[in-house]
Amino acid sequence: MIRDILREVDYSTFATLALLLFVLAFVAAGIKTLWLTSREESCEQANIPLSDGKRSDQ
Amino acid sequence: MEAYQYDEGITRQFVTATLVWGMVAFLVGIYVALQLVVPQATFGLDFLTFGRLRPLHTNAAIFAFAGNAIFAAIYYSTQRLCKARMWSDVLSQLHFWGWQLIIVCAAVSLPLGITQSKEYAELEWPIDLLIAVVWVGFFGVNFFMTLVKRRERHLYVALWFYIATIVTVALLHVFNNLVVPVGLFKSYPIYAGVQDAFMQWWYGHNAVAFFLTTPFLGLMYYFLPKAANRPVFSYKLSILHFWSLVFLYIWAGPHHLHYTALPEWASSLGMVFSVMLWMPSWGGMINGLLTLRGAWHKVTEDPVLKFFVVGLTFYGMSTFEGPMLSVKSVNALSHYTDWTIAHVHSGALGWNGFMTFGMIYWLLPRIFQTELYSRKLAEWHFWLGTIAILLYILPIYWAGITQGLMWYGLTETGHLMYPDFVETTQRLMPFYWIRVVAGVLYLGGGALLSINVVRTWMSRPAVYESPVYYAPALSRDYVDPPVAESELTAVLNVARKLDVFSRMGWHRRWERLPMYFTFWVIVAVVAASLFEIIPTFLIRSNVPTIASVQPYTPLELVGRDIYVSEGCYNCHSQMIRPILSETKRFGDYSKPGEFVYDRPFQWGSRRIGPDLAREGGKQSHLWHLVHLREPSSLVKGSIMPSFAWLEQRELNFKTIPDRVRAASFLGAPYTDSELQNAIELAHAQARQIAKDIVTQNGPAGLEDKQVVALIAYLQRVGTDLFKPAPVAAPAEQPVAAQPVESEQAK
Repeated sequence: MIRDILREVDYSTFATLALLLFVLAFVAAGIKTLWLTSREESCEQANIPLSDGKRSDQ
Repeated sequence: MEAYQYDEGITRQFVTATLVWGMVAFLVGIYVALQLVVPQATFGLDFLTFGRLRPLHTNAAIFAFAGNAIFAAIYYSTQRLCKARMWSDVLSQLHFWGWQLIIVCAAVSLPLGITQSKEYAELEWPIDLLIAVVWVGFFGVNFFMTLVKRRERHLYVALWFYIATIVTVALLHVFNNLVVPVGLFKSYPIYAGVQDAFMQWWYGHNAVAFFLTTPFLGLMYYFLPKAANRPVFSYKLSILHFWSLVFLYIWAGPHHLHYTALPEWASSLGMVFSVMLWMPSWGGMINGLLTLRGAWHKVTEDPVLKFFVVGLTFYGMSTFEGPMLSVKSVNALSHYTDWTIAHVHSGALGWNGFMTFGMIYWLLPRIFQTELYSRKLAEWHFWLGTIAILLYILPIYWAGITQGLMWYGLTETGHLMYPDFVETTQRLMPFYWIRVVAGVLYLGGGALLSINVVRTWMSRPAVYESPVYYAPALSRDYVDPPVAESELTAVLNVARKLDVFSRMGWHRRWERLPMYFTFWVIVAVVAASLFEIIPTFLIRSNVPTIASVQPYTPLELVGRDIYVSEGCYNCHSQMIRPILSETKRFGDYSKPGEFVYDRPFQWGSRRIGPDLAREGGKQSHLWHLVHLREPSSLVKGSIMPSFAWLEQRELNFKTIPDRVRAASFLGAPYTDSELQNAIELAHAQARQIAKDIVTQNGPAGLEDKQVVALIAYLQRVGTDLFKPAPVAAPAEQPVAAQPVESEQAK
């Protein structure tokens, strides 16, 4: 029966589903990034690589 | 506060290895480029042929040069972004020496013809196992444990790119290299034909994505702000860049297989996602370039920034071109031509090369704790490299388009405008010569870098300073800032909860929890992969069975292994697309069912020589013998090297039963008789071919030589489609071997 089901499935819908999945993921990431992250938080994170840490001789 | 010191030694080691292997990769690249204009440059030696050395060049460039560069970047930046030393110095050293051992194994095995013949995954199974151990067991464990032990709560975006790299490369490597060993130096993939092609290009495309793109983007997000001394233009854009790229890239592999035996929907899906990839790619490029806003004056003075700016520009250029080449109508012209080679080199030399050089010049004074020896030499390197890249890609673009148009060209009466394939090859010679010159210039740039590295190293202090840094440990009972309560009123409690959920405080938690973060990266990668891979493996209609397609005879099987070993796929495709000019030139287009016994598939990706999918029966055995001995004696202007040694070397018949058993184990329907009498059957077919050669006025005594096996295979390729389906035979009769022999004897 499983074999019959697999044979009958129209796999071309996978392409549409894939696009839908991407749009959802993109919108979620967009909302999180653009609206739900504060500017201060974002600036703080962006500055992380500029400092190697506090040296003992400084 | 906790005290810690960074491990600079491991960065110094990887930078040195990058330089050494980079020079090797450039040198081998120039040598194989030279062979295309001077085929005699192989000096008749088997280990110097294009088919064997081209994989050495690509592997050296990707895994030795770029690989060591990303490790240098990762070891330097991860420690600083985590405010922690690498978790284990022992693992760091095991990683370094293990990786160099892998490179040495590749440098020895590939020229010896030990290959799986899958592009960028040529290394045989023992080396693959070593790669898995070094990548996951040494590098991966050390990296993730450093994240766990870090003292900076937020995982900076560069670390996200590194996580995606480590996780995805491990997945790709393992699943593309599932094989059944036939011996220490030979294996057959568990996939065949269409599935093998699909898995290979799922791997091949994503090797570019997750070995040559994501780690270099991590490098860019760390080293560019450092060099410019300012934060990245938009951190928010970098987050969008990351998720879009990771999510999109993994779907795009099928664009390497347009117009082949792949299902239409998979091919279209690959194209659409490839086109969409343009957006995040350019988002990253723009983010990088805008980081320099207000600091462009520094670019004119600082060679490091010059390398980064040009590197990013090439990233933008090749990530625009990539989606364009994935569009089916463009791909119809560009595929198999040198256009792809130009595209790859604009990315490799421009993006990977220049980002690496920029990083090395920035690192040198820091890791050797002294002034850079010569800024002027670095400037010269920059200009020499830039000119070299342009001199390389522009003629090769021209060559590629010329090739495509000449192959496509039809006269008004519908005949091929350039029926002799070699005409197109000869037309490209001037472009190929320019490429050699360009390669020498790029190598010259590498030589200037080498001088700078050695002289800087020579002026290092007697003892390296090892400063101690302080940072508080991350508290175990850290609590995230509270998410504001919902301001919704007059709604159900569920709606209020949804409102709070949608503020995505949970994502903020992930960003500081590396294992959760890694889990979601795996989900994004695996989901996309499964969406494509499962249907391709499940649909029966994808690979309709062709009754007349039978397994290779024992001699053909070993002949095919010689074809694989010599790397013939580097110049010859075995995939005729359903395009008029192709079917006119090469014969009936290829059907998926023709490849069900092909392990590994041999579709190839470029045509320096003609397609061989319908080669069987086109020429006599003697023609093949003479052609393999001295190609230009039969095809004037041919740039194929001589394979004369195949005529002298004995064929090891004793290995044949193992090969047949392995093929049988993987599903090839050999009879018991064929399995038990494989050597006798091979001898019988070899004697018949040798006899035919004598009848055709060729030399005698070839029945135990390797060339006979290769001829047996070449005469079989693409012929099954036109044979009658075999009549059901008694169980013990070798049904596959007999008809082929009789056909070839005609």
